[in-house]
Amino acid sequence: MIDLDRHSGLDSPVHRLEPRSRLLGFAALIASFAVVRNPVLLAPMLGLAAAAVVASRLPWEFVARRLRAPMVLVLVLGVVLVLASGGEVLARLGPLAIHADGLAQVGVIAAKLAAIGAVALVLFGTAPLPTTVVAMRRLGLPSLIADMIVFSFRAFHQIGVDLKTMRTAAGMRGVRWQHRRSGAPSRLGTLARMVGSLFVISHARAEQAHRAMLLRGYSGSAPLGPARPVDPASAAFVVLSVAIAVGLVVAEWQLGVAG
Amino acid sequence: MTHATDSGSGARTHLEVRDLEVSYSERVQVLRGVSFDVAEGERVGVVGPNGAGKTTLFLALSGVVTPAAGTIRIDGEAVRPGRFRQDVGLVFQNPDHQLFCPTVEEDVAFGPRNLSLAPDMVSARVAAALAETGVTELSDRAPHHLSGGEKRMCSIATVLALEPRLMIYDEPSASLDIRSRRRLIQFLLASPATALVASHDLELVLEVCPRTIVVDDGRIVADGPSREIMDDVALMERHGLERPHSLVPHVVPHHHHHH
Amino acid sequence: MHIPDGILPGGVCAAGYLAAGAATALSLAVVRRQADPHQVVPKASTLTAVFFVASWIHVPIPPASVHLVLNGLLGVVLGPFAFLAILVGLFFQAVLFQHGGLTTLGVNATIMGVPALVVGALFGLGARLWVRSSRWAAVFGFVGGSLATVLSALGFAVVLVTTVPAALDPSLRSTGVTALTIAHLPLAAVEGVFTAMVVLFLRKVQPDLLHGWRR
Repeated sequence: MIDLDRHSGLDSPVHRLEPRSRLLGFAALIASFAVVRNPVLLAPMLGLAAAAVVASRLPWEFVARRLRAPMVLVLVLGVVLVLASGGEVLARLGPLAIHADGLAQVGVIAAKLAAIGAVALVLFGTAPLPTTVVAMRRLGLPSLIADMIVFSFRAFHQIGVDLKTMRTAAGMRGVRWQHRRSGAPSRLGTLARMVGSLFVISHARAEQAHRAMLLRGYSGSAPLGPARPVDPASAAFVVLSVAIAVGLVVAEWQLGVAG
Repeated sequence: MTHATDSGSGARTHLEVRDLEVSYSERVQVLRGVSFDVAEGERVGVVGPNGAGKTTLFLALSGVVTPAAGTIRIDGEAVRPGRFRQDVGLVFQNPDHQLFCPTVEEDVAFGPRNLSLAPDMVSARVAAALAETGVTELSDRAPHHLSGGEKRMCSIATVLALEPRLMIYDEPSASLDIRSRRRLIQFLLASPATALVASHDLELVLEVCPRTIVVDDGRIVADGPSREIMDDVALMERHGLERPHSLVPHVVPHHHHHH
Repeated sequence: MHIPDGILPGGVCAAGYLAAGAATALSLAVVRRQADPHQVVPKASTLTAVFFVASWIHVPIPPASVHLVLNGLLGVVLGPFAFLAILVGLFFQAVLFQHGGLTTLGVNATIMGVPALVVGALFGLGARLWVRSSRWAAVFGFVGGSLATVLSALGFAVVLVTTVPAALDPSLRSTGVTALTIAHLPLAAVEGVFTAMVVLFLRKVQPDLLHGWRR
């Protein structure tokens, strides 16, 4: 799970960016990718995403592995689109018709997903999550939400282990988790009680942790402390990324108007 | 290094482990060739520093974890991983992982119910387990709000209800107060089951287990009568342990008395 | 019911963020009115973590096996905090697992979070007006769990059908919405049952964890 942080300690131009700048620049790019729709812009969009991955020195294997699941999902949706979207028919496979419109749409969707997913990985995989959350707070994220992100992040590893151990222990008392044929309702009941128990014990643990924090002077959000000054490279990155993002949006608009 | 224990009465071998190796991935080998026998009714302490592999050993004996090499035989029959074995009971380190029902009675009944036993048999088993662990008066309480000692005995009851002949205890006395710990020791001494007891509480091991196995770095480094092993100061310190205070010769007064 | 990146037009994503922003502001306002929101943050965060972990539970609903959404359960336990918890949970799912999407975070949060708030409010109201018997707890739990799923499925269907296949005949749209929503009914039933079971459990073991049940 915390696999995402695995490469956050590398050294690359992206890793060295000031956190708020990195967040702003890549967020602008991601937002502009969401707007892109015209096939002409797909290549530049993918090129930018690839450039980001290269600049971050994140392993391609890492990016590919993480994008595999959502791509599969989208391709499944794509099959529906290709077969059902109406419009010009490219070919026929027996009773099924392959529509050009659907095919084009699938291409656009897949490209956008890949580009957005890759840049998101670059944004969140090049720094530990708490660092990125601090940057978000400095940029206006309410401190209550920032705290929830940090505390949940810390808690869910332990809770994941708790649930897994509970299931193992229950398996050792006769629950057949993998059994397909029968017993599903009782398994659901067992899981419901485990989830309920997790609520109860995690709540108790959280109260203890909160008490410990109060004893160490926590009275609300942790004070932020001075921000790292924005260096010229980071400033340039933000300006450049926002400019490219705006450019993409304008291009999409113009192409939409013209086409 | 390995002292075979003379079980005297010629009791049958209950558990036989040969050359057990367990790895969690290609590089991390947790158990590197562990071999030992346990006779019927014997109580064996398992001690060693954290990370030595004790919990992994127990998970392998319970059939939860698949060994990379070696064999485990219980009553002569090989343990096949992944199959539920009702004759081995593992008491987990954290009782919260084994207590998740709204009442203690339901938790203890959980195992027998999964065995599809008749309701009156289930009640009989529950009553017996609650009596043996001395928690009959807690049967209507919610386990989540019980004290550490009460939770510990209840979690043992949930395992006993399946009537396993081999009981494995992973750190049973952790966080117990004096009275609960004494109750646990009395219970262990009275229990007829074959038992493996892993504990940092060396005094408990001394009291309860005539034989002790020392595990370090995935290997058994000593196996013999508990007093002999724990009196071997050099051996204990070499493996991150300490000679229990009760074995320190009280010939020269070394307690500091404040006048 | 997570909509991945790349499918929705940019305008819809922006609208989703606006809606989520409004719901967030509303939730924050309600939460801050409570005595000390920072007392509740540790509790809400661990419950968010439990929701996140629990949502990986597979339930076999032939022909496939699906993850539970549990937004109804979250509403029932956290009340107004539920939207924030779902927002945070979805953020993690998108960032850590690439499940759902970042550009669609606003849309997904609205689709799953607003029903949670509705259910939470209903449940809290029920706690005040009705006897807290196990029967009513089960009923409210079941209704809460299934209603949240149905509302989310409806939102999901409407968003997808109206924005995705631009070439789809408009007359087919209502059929599409109906079909997609009906497809989620088995899941809604399972979520209803599951939520009822957890509510009954908490009622026995620690009722003050249920929204509106604090004495």
